[in-house]
Amino acid sequence: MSFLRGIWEIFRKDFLFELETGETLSLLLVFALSVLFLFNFSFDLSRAEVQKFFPGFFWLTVLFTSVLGFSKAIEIERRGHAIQGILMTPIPRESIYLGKVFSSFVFLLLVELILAPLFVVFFGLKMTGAQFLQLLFPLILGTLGLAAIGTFMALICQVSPKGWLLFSLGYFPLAVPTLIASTKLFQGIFQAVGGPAAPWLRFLGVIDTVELVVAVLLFEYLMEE
Amino acid sequence: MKENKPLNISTTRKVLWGLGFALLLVSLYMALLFAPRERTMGDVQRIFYFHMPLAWNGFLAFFITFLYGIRYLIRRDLQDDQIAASSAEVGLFFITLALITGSLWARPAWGTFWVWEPRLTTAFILWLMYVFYLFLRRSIEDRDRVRLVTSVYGIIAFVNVPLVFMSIRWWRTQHPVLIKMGKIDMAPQMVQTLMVSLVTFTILYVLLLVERRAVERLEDRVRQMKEQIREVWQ
Repeated sequence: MSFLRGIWEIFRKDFLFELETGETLSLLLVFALSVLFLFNFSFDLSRAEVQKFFPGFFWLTVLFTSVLGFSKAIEIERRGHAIQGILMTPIPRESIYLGKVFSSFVFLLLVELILAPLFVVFFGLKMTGAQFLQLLFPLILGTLGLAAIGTFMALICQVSPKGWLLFSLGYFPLAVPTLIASTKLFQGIFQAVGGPAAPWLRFLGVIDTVELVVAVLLFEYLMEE
Repeated sequence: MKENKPLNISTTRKVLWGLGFALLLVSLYMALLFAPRERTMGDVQRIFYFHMPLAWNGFLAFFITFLYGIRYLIRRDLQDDQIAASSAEVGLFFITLALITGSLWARPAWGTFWVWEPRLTTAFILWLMYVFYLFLRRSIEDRDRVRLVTSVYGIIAFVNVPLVFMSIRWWRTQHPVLIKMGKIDMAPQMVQTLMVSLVTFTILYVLLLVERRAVERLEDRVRQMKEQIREVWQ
């Protein structure tokens, strides 16, 4: 089976499963909502402050929500030893990793696209249609970076139940560059601070490429029997 | 299995420890008495002679973990894994000390214990990464799996270090005094002190690595023996 076809098949499996159960998206959305409310009580922002703090709040919410997303993605593969089944198929090993990255990426992106307008509803964030469209680039590149590193760390930590407890501890430090770049880009869109967007977008592209390439190279060692 | 007697400390090791200890005394003397008093910061600056070598060796240690992680994945030699794991632990010790000495120095020099400056922040994130490495090593029962997983993590963590550093540098572009440190015309005695101290701490790093690795090797041997006993009993 070809490399790209393999990625697609893994994604399709996760997508069909999601259509059937709706487990992941509903879980992530409700979790993101509860984080949103906690932020509200913790900081009690005025309208002016919302513009300033939105980038940070948004990406922190995404980061916390993604932890749950990766647990869910791993849990699905654990159920009935599904991962063993996948490893027996002729799908190339790298495609398995990239397929899982792609499905986490899509689910997270969907949650983010719902989450961003919710800031307008709940916090009175001022966001024009053009600004919303501008958000798409950092959203796509940033989420891809989180999905790449998160999926990889999830694979490292799922080796034992005790290892799984460590997931956030391993994932957060490695997510720092992606988080900084994405937040900076958002700040640029809402406050015209943070400098020009192009270098940060390029940097995000570099992060994504490095994470994906290194992860693909190392993935087969994690799957060894 | 090769017969080795790890409890018999070799003469070379004894000599190296003696040398390391002597050099430590020399460095201490040079840092406290030989090097001249820094004009603006005063005696506080003397911490730098220990701080910088500690930080440098911390980075070196994590680089060794990265290298030996790759070597283990290719050769599957237990020794490589023992060195990688030992180096991570020694490196964490050095980085911890570097963070502590750094913040002791920052208080009088900058008026605050901590500044979210690129090097400090990177060192802090490094610290978090390798604490995770040690936790991960203790969280898995299956030894072969531990070796694979931590080698892989050691590689991906180290690859991330430049990304972390660059992102933080661009996040906060203002650089406090520290960055100028290297450019200040240091008195020759200061440079000499720094060099001696750097050599001392690098030797100490190697010594600690060797000792820690000996322990790691013993642990692996005990595990092997336990397995053999279990097989006999079954």
